[in-house]
Amino acid sequence: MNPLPLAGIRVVELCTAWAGPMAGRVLAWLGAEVIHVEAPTRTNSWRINKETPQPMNFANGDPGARHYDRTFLFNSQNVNKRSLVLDLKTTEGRAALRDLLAVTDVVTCNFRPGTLEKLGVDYESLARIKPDIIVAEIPAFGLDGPMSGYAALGPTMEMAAGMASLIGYPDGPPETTGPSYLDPIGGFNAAAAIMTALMHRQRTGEGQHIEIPQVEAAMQFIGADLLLSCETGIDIPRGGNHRPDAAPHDAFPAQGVDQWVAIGVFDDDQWRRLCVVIDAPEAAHDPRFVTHGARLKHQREISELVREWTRARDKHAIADALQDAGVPAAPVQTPKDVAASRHLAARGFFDELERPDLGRHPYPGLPVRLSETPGGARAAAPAFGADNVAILRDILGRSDDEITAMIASGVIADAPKPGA
Amino acid sequence: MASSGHQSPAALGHLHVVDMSDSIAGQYCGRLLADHGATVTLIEPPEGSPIRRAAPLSVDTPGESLMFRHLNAGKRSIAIDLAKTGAQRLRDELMSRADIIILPPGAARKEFAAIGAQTVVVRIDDFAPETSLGHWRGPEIVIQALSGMMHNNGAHGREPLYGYGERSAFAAGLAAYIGALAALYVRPTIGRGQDVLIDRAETAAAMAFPYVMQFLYSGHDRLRSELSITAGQALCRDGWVCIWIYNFRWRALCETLGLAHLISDPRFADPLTRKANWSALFEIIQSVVADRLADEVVDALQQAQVIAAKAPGLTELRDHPHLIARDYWRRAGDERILGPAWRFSRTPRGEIAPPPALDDTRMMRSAAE
Repeated sequence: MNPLPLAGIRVVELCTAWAGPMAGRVLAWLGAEVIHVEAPTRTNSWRINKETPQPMNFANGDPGARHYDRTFLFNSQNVNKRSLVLDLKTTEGRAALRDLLAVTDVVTCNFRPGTLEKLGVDYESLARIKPDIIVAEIPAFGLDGPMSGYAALGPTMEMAAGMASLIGYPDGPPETTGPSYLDPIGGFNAAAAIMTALMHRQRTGEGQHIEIPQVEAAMQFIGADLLLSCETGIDIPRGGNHRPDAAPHDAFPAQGVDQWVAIGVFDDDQWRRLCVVIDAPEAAHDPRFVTHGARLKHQREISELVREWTRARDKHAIADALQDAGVPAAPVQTPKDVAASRHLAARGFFDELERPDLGRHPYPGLPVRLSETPGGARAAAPAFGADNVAILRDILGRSDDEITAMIASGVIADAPKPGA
Repeated sequence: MASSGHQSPAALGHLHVVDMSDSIAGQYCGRLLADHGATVTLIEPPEGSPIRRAAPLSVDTPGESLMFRHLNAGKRSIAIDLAKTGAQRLRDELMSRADIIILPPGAARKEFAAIGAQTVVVRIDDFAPETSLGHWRGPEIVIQALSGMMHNNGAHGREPLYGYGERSAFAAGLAAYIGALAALYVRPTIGRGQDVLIDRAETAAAMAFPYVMQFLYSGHDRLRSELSITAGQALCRDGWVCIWIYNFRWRALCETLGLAHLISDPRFADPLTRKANWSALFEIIQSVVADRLADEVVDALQQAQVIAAKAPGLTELRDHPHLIARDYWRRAGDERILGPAWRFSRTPRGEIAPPPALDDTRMMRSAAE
């Protein structure tokens, strides 16, 4: 059996929420040992530890005594990882972190710029003790510039990147998309940058410092539109689901409450096929609809025609019928629909993982599929501080007495402090 | 960012890549490889890649596709007419030397005898051909609808919105880049190349999984009408601002916006009542920011550690002070291109060549001769 691509690579993750841990999740999927570091005084926000527990957010609908170990958010994002909880406000905690980083290949951080310096583990400091280390910082706006100190989340990054200005109803505000679309994109960008640095290190032995400014990285996704607006000085208006190269191109109501089917027609042939499926043969030859230009002008009439046909039908059946006829369409899937997706099942997207206190559940996977060294989900997300002792003993060589003292003094912990 | 003291050659400068993809996803993967120094050759049909005709088109340079420029700056081009004698030999020669080959959707390694065992083959499909949806057509709205993302978007009672552009294609290109480098990284260990197979629909689902996981854990099938994110958009005098109201920054938000009286208002006393009275709350916030400048509102909130951002139009980003201060915008020849997605202390992205003219390698060969 082949080793996984990143077998033997150790990653220490000083990250919270989604983007940073997503990068670590990708690296762990590819075989890296990823240690997620938290503080007992400040938990990862995806543990939802500061809110009143609501059953829907927890395994089996039960918050249990350790609700921070049972959230769908943290546990989806941190599969394959180990958990180390260190109080970095203590001298011993910071020393343990520095010792760990001295035997680490990659460090990731998605806190504000300056966090690593405050902890004494910035790139320059680490490179002195481990010259080939790779330090990846994942700030929203970069490490310098007037907005570098601004905090952000996926939706506010989507605003700042210019994307939101392109999305929305013609009569409405800019919209953000979700859930929090730019967070996983930030994580993938960080993983890609780290892979680039690992390639360089493999060839030269050199580590380096990487900056992944999430907003700038996301701008690549609308790069051509940005270039156009830079040329013309004209902003692209929000047009709902409409786009100039397709008509109709929208979501149409289907049977049920808030159920929709997306349909896009990109050429005359697809239009004629749509008309056959919706049993409107006369529309195929209607001069208002017969060419793409005509259809763009009469989208309201087309929408009424299509809506009349879709509204009492099942969204899945509509999409199947249209796709079988060669017309692009898809049900707008709810979480339950996605969980039951036959396409994702065929791809092996869900892996079942078990942890004694959680039970056995399917977990969503990642799309990076390699034929000879396939990655995958091998272990459920760790409980808070689950690997403290093993990491201190096996990696850092701390004695049992030293570890006992660290537990007693609260330098390591397996439960958050109140309010953390 | 911190400098390492010296710079090294480009991280991927030793790699040869053949890009035969003809898709946004594939060409974006190739562009990222070119950004980091790989020699990327775009193999095109005699009439050119279809992306050369893709919208949006340049106004300043009539006929130029800005999508092509964005995806193919830094590459070189060779046009191959397979109907002509020797064309296949030329293609095979390029393929046999490549570390990475990006194939078009549906193509397979076994179709090309010239691909060596050491080569990493990348292919990005809308839907993997062997699945039951392998015959489906996958424009962006279809991919987003299936992924679960679209179900989160737009106002309840109105049609859900798709995210503008071709984002799932770019995300798939990014996933392909990660996969290609992972395959190269492990190549010395396993002694051969391998196939990296990316599925756009799967990639999009992987970017929208949290509420799917919530269903898998608790059976809760989230409705679009549920307010799960305590954020909203308010219109300032010169633009929209998104404000994120974390519970533990509630007091700071109120004080910063001159709404200290809301702290003791029973309608907003705790997170649950704030959610229940969200519309009323945002009406009040809207009323106090309506006459203020968006940047001022954002800056004041950020100083108070309340997360907020302005939604600039794309033209505003061209001259945005933050991007200017970071020297973001770059040139490829005479043409504007975007700055790097990532910045490296030792191996920064270097100068990027303009997007290639069709078959520019022939011209280079002629010049050399």
